[in-house]
Amino acid sequence: MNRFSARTVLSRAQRTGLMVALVLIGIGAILRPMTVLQTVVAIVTVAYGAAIVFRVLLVWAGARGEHLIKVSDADARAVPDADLPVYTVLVPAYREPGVIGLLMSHLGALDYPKDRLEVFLLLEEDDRETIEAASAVASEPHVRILVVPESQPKTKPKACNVGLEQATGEFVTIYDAEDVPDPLQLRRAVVALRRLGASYVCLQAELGYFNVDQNRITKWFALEYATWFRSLLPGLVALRMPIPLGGTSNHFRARELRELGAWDPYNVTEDADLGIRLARSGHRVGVLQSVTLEEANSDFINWIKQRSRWYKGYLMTWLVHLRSPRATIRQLGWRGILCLNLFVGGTPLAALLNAVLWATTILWFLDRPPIMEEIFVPPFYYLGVICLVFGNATVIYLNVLSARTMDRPDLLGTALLSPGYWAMMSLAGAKAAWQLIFNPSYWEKTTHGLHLPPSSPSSKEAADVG
Amino acid sequence: MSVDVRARTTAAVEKQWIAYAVVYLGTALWFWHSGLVPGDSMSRAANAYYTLFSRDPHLAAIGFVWNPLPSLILLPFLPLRGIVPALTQQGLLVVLMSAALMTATVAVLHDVLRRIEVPRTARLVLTGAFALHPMIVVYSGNGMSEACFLLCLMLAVRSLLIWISEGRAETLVPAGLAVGLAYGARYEALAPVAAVPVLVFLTTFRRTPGPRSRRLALARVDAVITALPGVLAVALWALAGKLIVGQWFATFSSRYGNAAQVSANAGDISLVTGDDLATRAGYGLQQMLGLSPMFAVLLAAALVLAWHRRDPRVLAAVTVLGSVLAFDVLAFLSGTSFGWLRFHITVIPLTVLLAGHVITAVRPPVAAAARTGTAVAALALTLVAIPSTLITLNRPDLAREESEWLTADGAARTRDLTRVNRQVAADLDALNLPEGAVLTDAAYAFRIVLASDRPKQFVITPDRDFPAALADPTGNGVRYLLLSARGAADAVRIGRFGPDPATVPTGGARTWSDTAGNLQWTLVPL
Amino acid sequence: MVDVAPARLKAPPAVSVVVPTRNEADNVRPLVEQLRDVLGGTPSEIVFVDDSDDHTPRTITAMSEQDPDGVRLLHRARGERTGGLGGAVTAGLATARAPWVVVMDGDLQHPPATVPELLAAGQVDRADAVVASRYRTRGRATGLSGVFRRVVSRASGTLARIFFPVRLRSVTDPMSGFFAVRRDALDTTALRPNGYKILLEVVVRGRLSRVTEVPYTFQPRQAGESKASLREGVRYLRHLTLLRLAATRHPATPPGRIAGFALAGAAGTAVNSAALWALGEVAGLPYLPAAFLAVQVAIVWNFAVIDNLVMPPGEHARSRRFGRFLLLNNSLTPVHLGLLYGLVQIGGMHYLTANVPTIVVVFAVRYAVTSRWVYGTPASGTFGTIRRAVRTRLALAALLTALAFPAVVAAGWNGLWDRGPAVPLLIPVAAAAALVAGRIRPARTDPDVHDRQVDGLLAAGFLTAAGTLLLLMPDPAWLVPAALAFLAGAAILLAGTRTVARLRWALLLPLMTVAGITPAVRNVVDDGLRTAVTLLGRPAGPRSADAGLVTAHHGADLLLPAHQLPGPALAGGVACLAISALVLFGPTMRALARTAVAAVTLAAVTVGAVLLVLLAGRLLGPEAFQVARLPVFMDLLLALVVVLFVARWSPAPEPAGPVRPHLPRGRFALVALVALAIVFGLQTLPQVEWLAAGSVR
Repeated sequence: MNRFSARTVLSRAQRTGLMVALVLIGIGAILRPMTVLQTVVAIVTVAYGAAIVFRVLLVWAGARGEHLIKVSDADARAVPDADLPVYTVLVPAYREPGVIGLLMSHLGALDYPKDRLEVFLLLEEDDRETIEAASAVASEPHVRILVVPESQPKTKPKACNVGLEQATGEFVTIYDAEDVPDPLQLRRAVVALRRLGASYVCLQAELGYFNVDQNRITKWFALEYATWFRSLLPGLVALRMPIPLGGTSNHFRARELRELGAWDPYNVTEDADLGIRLARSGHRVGVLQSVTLEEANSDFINWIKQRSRWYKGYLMTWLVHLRSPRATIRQLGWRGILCLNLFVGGTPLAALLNAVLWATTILWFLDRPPIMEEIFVPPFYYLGVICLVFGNATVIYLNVLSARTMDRPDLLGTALLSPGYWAMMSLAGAKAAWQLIFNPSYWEKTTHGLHLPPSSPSSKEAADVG
Repeated sequence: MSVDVRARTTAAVEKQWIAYAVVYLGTALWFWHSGLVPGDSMSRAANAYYTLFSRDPHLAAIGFVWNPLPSLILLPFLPLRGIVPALTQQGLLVVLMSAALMTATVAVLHDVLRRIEVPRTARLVLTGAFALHPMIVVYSGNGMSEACFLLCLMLAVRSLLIWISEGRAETLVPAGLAVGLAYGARYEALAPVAAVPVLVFLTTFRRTPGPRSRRLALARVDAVITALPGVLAVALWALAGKLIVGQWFATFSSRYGNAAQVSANAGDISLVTGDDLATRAGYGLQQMLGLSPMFAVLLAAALVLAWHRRDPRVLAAVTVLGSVLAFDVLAFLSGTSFGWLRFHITVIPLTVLLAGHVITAVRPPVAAAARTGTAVAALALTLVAIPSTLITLNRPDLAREESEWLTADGAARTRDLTRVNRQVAADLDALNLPEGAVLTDAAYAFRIVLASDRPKQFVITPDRDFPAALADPTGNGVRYLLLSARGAADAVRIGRFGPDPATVPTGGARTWSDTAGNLQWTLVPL
Repeated sequence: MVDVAPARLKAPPAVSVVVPTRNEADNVRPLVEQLRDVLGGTPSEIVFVDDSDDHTPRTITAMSEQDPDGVRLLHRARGERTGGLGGAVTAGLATARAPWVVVMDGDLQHPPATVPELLAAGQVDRADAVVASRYRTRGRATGLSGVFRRVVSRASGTLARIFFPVRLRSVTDPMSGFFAVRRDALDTTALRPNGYKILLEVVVRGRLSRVTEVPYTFQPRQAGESKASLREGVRYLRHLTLLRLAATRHPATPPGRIAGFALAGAAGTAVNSAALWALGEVAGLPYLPAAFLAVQVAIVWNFAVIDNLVMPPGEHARSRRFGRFLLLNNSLTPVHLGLLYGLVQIGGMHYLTANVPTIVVVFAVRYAVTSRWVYGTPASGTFGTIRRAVRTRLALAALLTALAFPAVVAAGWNGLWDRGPAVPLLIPVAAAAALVAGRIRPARTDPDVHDRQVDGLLAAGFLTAAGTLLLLMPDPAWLVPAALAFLAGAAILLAGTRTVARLRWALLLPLMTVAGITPAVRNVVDDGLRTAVTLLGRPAGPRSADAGLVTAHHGADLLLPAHQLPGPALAGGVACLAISALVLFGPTMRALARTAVAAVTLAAVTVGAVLLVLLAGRLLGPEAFQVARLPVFMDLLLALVVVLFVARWSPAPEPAGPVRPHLPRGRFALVALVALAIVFGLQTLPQVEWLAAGSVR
């Protein structure tokens, strides 16, 4: 197993380091509480400032020049079937009897010769209803059902690893059960990977949603993903930084993936972790212009469960890759470190700290306690105010801009209401932090099929209560 | 300052840009050397100065009467005071800054002319017509906020022009930011903050294909992208003012603000400009035509040609600069502005850009002779502004502020005032007073506080404990009250001795007067 | 008592259709044919219970010969027609063989096409009975000839629902004679039918819990005359009251049982105190032996009441039950006497007054042991079911909030006696309760996704907000928001985020008391009230002086001061109605129309109340006027009207759908909440001042 597994969230060195740090802070807090508080506030405001500058830099870099890999429909179709390699499609699914039915219709639309296509449905042993639903649907020869034997941790990456062992294809990709990929995506990936050469091991296709207008949460989700895939990800590519991969529609060269040890079964965001490990081993990741539609989460609690799993995964990835700082700096370079800390680690921490800082701001306006004037030392106080005011304004401004660039002007209201979304994020951040300590490898299952009309019995399968 | 301005400036312009930089530097040094740095510039420099070197240094000391940008720009350079004390004591820094900003404005103007494809020679002449315009030269050297304001407006014009010609939504962001920044410089930027989004809305609505609802939605989003920075700037400045000074728009409502000062010396303003609408309009027209006699002709020509060629690019300059001009004219006509000549300064770049548009509008399908003919005519109409401005500057009734610096007796008066203030500062330093010994109203004593080597001896209005010190001076360690003789809203004098300046006791107090003998400053011991 | 035509066994019928007929010969044939083609393949039997005197039985027997198993006749001779129509149906129910029995009239006013719908609804909702309703949204009662008939039918239906608000809450047409019922869910022997209201009998006496409805259109009469008449109306009223008494006896639901037991206990206390007074004061016995004897008297009295009215007859015989009851209570007597002694000697209270708290304390113990040991129903079971219902948990949360914020309760209480400038707390709280009652059951579209950690985090957020507001902000305006934050936090912990999210608007209603009614609005409403009152009391009525409304009693002027006018209460009530309509109907014209109607009614009620108060003053003199003008009466009236409107607007609760309301484990949360509530309560209790009831400033 690779050394950077999230089996143990904190390595021994990190654990001792953490203990020492906590003890020091404890002593400091007793002796001179004010200086400790001031230093904490200073660090937090500087980190916030850096995160906001980094985000503006990314958007600015992303907007200048083309960083998306484009393969026209004609080029994709030009490749004769004989030249196409064997392609393996892994579809992990857990408790999705309703959505499996739709799967075959969506994957059936893939424009790829059936004899060179290998589709594996990865189902858990104890998930009887999905297995029956799948076996009823999986009629075509190139679709095989792989039952993953019961073992801990019961996570999506573990199922994908099992699928990868059976895969015979030169290229591998992952789709969720409810995904609707662009029919030419496989062909485009083959053409792009052959054109870009061996240094490119992975292509991340863009993710979009088919139920954007269901309610406010799906609109926020769509806006966030459009900003991520249209300005932040190209920015990371422009600045040659490691790319945290998305959950699905990433296309790999099977051989290099196996060398790298594939996915870390203990990390709940195995895709982000793999993105960092790809960068560490010097491989490059491209962003393919081809959209896979999936279901945006439309229910508040369901969304919190999904988002808290992602943040927990980002925190695990961040801790795992800070395990041996020297090696990480040597392999990733200062750009990688910056991206790792500000993006992978920063996003969940910022979400968590947002709530705390907003609370202090409200407390300040409510009651103006004198102690807060001491805690916020002037230079950091002004930096904090600038972060609070201009930072938030900048992000809202970028949201409005991306609503315009993704040609969805009706999302203007949604973009202006982004603070509501941040509040939900901070709630998810708090839940992620809680679970990271008490239950790191638990896979917070998201209920799918909420976009289907309520009367259909399929959407009523029992979701395991958290 | 966007990146590609530096990259794309061609070699020829390089020399021209340096030439103007030298001219402006010379003007600045002349203003500084002859002690003619105007009060507004020194006051803005003082606002920046208080935040770092006053008795109670804090950012909010920047003051809320003026918009903060011109003072904020000076902040990073204030520590150089240790090396060259004249930078702050005699206002050298503020004049050098305005020279640099005006040079940048010229560079941006040249880039705009290049983007609307004005032929090279006409472009150089037009840039020269703007750069060497007497009003521009004067305001490059006197440290006033006009330089910073014009730079922001030109940046807005440039970005708006790029958006109108290319149409990519991303280019609206720099336009929005520039307009927001302009509000930081002067409050007249309220006009473009309102006008530019309307232009963007109408342009997008008119030129996007598709159903009406989609065009409306796109136009609305574009307008919001343009308006958000400006609206945010206005809202934040108002909120900061409310939180710290207790008034949403201190520029208008505070005792030192516009309205108060205008009403305070309304008498002599109307004496000069006339108090009824007709005479006031006449006076304003004289000022505008003085600065740019052929503005109306060029405006009409440019608009007709633009309409004829269906080319909306001229609207960029007209909307940004025109809205500021209209705002000032309306303010003056409604009697709420001083009616200074500099309020019409935006007509100069507007005329140059209109000439540029006229020249580009006449394109190859038109015969070469006609093209050069119109070009020469346009250049002539622009260049005639220079002599007319020289005449206007020499008429003290039209150029009331400028006459204080350029006419012989006006310069003498200003020089004398500067001497008196430096004298007061020197005398106070000689007394070797402890910290917080002299209570004074910074709105009038800013030159003295700047000139003094020991700024901490003064208790000034931005200090957070000023109200307490004013209420009980002796209790707070104050030994002297420094009162301005003719300050209309001098908080200390009015606070202690009531509104009538005559009641100030002269016995035992030390006084300073100018060479003409009228009293300037009184130092009352407690 | 009845002769049954011989029936041969064929495949047991899936459906039995019981049709009571009287002199409706020519309806029989078309009815059977329509039922045949409607029921199609399902094996079914039609049982005609015939009380006719004409040739109807002959036509039925003719049909019966053709299809002996399909059609059966049950003829009741003239003397045996006990219970009228209801009796006939009960007899039919007794002889029906199929698991599902459909009851319908023979005069084709009930369309046979609805029968399959009834049966389908029965299966889907797993209900005990399915009623075909004329007043469900789609159904219409066009069949009832004449407006008078329709009004009578509708009025009697509403009357029934007032008598049984809980049991008939999901039945909009209790008068319907067309329903289906599951045989094994109904014990026909318990029925006491009389008159034509058999559905009421089945639902109430049969104690059916899950009743669902299907809309249908009541057809116009083809033939035969209608039986409804005034005599039938009186008989119906008597039947309703009899049913009501029967239902209160032996309540089925645990809370009903507790209430019954408490009432019996209260009566017992009175008997005990009376006996103690008689023995102690009159007979002069020392108080301890007097107390002992009084307890014995109370025990006998309690047993008589409980055994007959409250507790269901357990498996033990009555005499054994009495023996156990006596033994149990006497085992508690030493506790009783000890407590009494303590209170009298140490507490220094008079033994008569000390007796009451003693009984109350002993009551709880006595109830738990009696119900478990004497009547065999597990006491903890009852408490468990209590704890499980969502409504009880929300009530618990409200109770904890009151405990945590005595200042708010005091404000509410004082508001009853001395009207403050703001909206009295009673009205929005009542409106909120009504709104909550209507929206507790999860909608069908709610995904059944819950997360305990989200509940915990949100609740922590709300509770800290409540704490900071309470401790940091002394200004009383912050009290109600802090209380609502605490209530939200407690409700989330006890009932889950999704339920509270559904009830969020109800939570926000009480904020109205803080937002307050701007003086401008208040003046406008007060002036409106004054003009209306003076206008209506035209001839000798009250006159409006600037100090308030003045009326005369024997020459002496009685003043209702301006600040006591119910202006803010009315404005608050209208605001509650508007918000409730918005929540229930969304921003539609319908909501606006209903709010307008409700607001006008509310205003009318207020004016009426003010007039009444003034009239009371005029007629009964100053003392009565002092009492009558207390705000408590007017506020209660307004609150009642608002609650009635909101309850009427709330959609009739659908039957228990597949989605069971989610109930998170609350034990640890409950303990934490109680502790927190006590801490908050003690924090603010000292500064709370309560107005003595009835004192008026």
